[in-house]
Amino acid sequence: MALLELRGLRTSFLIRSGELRVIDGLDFEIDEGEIVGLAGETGSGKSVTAASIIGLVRKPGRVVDGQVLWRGRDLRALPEQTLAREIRGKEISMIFQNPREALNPVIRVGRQIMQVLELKRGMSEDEAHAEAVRLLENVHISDPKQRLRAYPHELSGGMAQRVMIALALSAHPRLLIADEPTTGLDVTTQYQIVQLLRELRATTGMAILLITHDLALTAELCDRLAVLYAGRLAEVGPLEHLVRTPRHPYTHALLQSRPHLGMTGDIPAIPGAVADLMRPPSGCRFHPRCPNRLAVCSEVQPVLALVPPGQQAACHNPVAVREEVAASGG
Amino acid sequence: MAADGASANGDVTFAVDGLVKHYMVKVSAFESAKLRAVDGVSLEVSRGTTLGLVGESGCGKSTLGRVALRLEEPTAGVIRYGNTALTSLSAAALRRLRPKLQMVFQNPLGSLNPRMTVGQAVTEPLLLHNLASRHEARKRVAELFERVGLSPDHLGRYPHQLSGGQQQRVGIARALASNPEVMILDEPTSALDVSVQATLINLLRKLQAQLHLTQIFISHDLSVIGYLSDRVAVMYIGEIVEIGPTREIFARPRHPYTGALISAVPGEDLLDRKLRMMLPGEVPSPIKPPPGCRLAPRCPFARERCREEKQVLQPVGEGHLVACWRAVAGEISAEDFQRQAQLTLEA
Repeated sequence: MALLELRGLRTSFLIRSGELRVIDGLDFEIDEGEIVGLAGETGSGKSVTAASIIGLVRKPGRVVDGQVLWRGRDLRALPEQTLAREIRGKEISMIFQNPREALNPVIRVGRQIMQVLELKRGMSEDEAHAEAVRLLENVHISDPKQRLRAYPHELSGGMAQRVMIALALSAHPRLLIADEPTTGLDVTTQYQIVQLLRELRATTGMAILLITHDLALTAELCDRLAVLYAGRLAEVGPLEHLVRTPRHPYTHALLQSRPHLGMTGDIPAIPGAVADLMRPPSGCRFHPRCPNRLAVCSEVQPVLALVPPGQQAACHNPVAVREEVAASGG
Repeated sequence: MAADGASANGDVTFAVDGLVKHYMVKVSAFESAKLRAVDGVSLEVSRGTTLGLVGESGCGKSTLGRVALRLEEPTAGVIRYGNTALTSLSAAALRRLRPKLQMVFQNPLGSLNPRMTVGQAVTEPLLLHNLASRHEARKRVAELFERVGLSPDHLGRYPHQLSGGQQQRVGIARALASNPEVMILDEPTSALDVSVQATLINLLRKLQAQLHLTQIFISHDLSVIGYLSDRVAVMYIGEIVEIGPTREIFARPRHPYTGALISAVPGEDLLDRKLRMMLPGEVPSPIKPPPGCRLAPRCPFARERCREEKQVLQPVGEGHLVACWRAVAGEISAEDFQRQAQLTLEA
């Protein structure tokens, strides 16, 4: 049994002018101890996916269909109270892009961590303090006793993210959802956080769902990668296949559209703009921008299907692979 | 004083010399402190070339861009445009030169008036600087729209009716309206989605070549800088630590900070795990920069002297300068950065 399995998940925003189908039928799973990347651009629905999993979709948004199976149990069927008490912040934790915004600016960092430990884990003040020190040590914050006395603004971005990770790990979650955890951090600090996440997976065995727009980041960290386009999965599979042998034209184009050293001439760009969810294109939502489109693409929505060398792509006319690659994989 | 080998060809269009911008900021209810955003920067950009300015957030690169065009007044230093010292011009004289010196910002929506159609937004600078009659302006704006890849249908739209990529095209058209010679672009593609970024980068490259613009391209993204720039300057806490031809900087970085940044640039194959040189700790505050070399507390190669005495930019090759005691003495090179990365990996 997968640790987390999404089946036909649909989340919509019901606004005056109609229904915005932000996630339109998502099937997706994460195994124990696995790091999965969920990559997409603005409006792809990647952050809403995270909110849908933990039952925190903001109004006017609502999960309208599908199942969120957590160790076989449908979280959508659970009352909010149970979700808050047993799942969120316990079995599933989350970290975000702006760690400092998640902390209360007028309360010392230590106090905030201890509050969580006292409330969620019923510790005494002394126990909570000792545990807070241990948690900061786990994420390699030097001089933790001193850091606990700091106010959030006294922490650098990287340090604040370490604090958030420490806090997220305090209840020993089985899944950490990391939504753009390194975006906004300096290049030299980003890599430290990547290293830390990799190390924590190894030591705790927790799974990580990494939500990002940055394919290079997924390549540093993930075992598997899922690429979202306009609320639907374009392609999902082992990282190496998606990066080296992408079959969905969108994945392929995204990888191509990065400038790299020694490149001459134009960067192969994707024409047009991301799909308007108010008026999503018919059939495959990527078809107006797709170099591989066929007549069928504007009529029939493609479903995820197994393609060589061993991933799933939702495409009527996948990118060709060289024969030797197709033969060696799958 | 020429701090940058570009002067060798005697065709420098734009330069800053000893540029300083300090701000007084409140650090507590009773105390103010000096924030050294730009702390003695000298740069030259040859006519028709692009200088890439790279650095991490808070290093002062955006301030440098704004101060270089006197959108903010420098604390000290000289700015030269051709033979004119911009820093000694009166406000009126500066206004007359303004059309030749333009800036493109990261967030186009923030720089466009929401109540003006984008057609009007691009027309405005033409009329403001008396560069065209109403009739001529209309023709010119239509040309500009075509040049940046917008259709005439867009002229009557309001900024919020356009996508982020289209808004930035309007921002570029507006900057180009007055036929500038010098353009400073501050993270013009950073707010855009990856798939849209590429089309904008292609456009910028084409425009630079067609219009022979003299550019400073500011970004935190070395991949984009590497693609668009002839030369690269690397900034760390208000100072330039290395400057040189793009190919040199990428192939043989001399400053350990440049080395670390370069080692973080993803290769063509994302899985081709490059060795990454990690710098421990984080960027110190520009309010209290470390004495001596500002990288010294984080630098794996630092010696006693680095922590005490600052090295100024010294030539190490054709148009290549570096501010590092050990690199200048030839004691460390790109191979050492590789070796350091290997050590990090093993640790």
